[in-house]
Amino acid sequence: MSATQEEDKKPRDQGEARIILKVKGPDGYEVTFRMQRSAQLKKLMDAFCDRVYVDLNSLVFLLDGRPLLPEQTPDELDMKDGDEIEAMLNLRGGP
Amino acid sequence: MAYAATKRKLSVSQDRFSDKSVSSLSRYPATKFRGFLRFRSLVRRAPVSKKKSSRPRDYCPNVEITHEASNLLGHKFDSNEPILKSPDLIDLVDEDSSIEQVSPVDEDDKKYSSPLRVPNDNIGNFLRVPLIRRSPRLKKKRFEVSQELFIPLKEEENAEVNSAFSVRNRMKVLVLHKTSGIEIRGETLQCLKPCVWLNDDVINLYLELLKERETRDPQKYFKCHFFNTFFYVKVHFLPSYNYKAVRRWTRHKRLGYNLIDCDIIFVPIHGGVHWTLAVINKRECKFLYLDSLNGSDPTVLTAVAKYFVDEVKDKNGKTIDVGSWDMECVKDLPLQQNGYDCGMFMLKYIDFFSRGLGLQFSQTDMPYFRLRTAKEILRLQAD
Repeated sequence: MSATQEEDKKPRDQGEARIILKVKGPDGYEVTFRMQRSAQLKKLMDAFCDRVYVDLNSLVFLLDGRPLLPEQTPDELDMKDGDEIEAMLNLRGGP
Repeated sequence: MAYAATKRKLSVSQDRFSDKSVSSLSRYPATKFRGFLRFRSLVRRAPVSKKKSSRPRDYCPNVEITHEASNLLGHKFDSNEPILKSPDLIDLVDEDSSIEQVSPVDEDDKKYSSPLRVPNDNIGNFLRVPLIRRSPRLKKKRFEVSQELFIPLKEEENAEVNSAFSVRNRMKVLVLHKTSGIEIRGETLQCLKPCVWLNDDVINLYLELLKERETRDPQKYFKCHFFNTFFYVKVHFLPSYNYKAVRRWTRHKRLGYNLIDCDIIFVPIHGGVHWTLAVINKRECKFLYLDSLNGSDPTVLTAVAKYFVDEVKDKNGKTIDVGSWDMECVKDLPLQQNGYDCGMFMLKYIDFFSRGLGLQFSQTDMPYFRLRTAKEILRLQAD
């Protein structure tokens, strides 16, 4: 797929199997994760929620504006190193 | 005193479960109060980890919500405002296409009357709404369209919706929309029950379905782009406008089209506790802002206009001048008369606009639209 996309992102563990992803929280707080390309994103979501002390259900994770499901994997989504995932708070309605 | 307090509580809880449609604006204080209670509960629930507040980076959505809530509570309700003030609503089509006469068939009561509409004198007025100017390609379909807007739900559809609403389906995943990655649990769908605030999952999924509907039958609908509810939060991330945050949202590779090729672009806006809508109408060179509580917010329009200019510049390398475009906070539109239907109103503004129709509905249609939306979501197909 995209072995050439590594750029300056310190490809320590042979980029093919691992991927570096950034998660940006609703207030702009950023966390960088390295995970396996074939692992489910649930892992990353849980880790991020743990880190910011927010319940998983109250956050939505978006990749370029599209919600991500916990069962999806970076491989499936054709993600590239350095891709940024946005974590947003759920919007619960209004009158 | 204690008695008074319980009495008040009782009346609030009664109020909460009554699903009668409300006809007078005198209910506003009560609904506002209830909205406030609801908001309080939301605040209480939101940060899961208050106890671990030693963290420097603690998530605290409350600040924003509080601000917005006070905004809402400060909202002025104009009780003199009629529901449908003026017959000609917003037109979304070219100036050059002729203004049509309402055909005799279309004036028939049956066309617009939903099974749930209360037969009152409002209707006569309502039907006088002249059909909006349309492009020729939409003309033919006018008859079917006006009919299919208010098709009553069949018995089995009603049963399906009711069973989906039932408590035992609360945690069950009812539908999963693969392409958008949205799953709807019973719990989520319950926001389509009467008197409940709509949540973003339902709204986003419905917008996806509207897009699919357009792809299925491009002749019948305008070419639209529906942003999801997170878009505006991102692009207008306080303290300032930020194009970079959403630059990748509209890549041609992802969408298959450029925004500049669309006739209409919809931007749902969530102001903390209220759903409103911004529309970029490219056909008529207009920016519209629709608020079912008849509010106005020029900052939304300027942000949307700025976004559109930046987007066209970034994706198409063209500089467009929107200085001459109209910026309008639409005033002649169906308004909500309670404290919970704003989301539904917003969805219906979008639905009617994308069909190229005037906003020919009112508060009395909302219970029907809620059921219908629930059905369309369960079947993953908007008609």
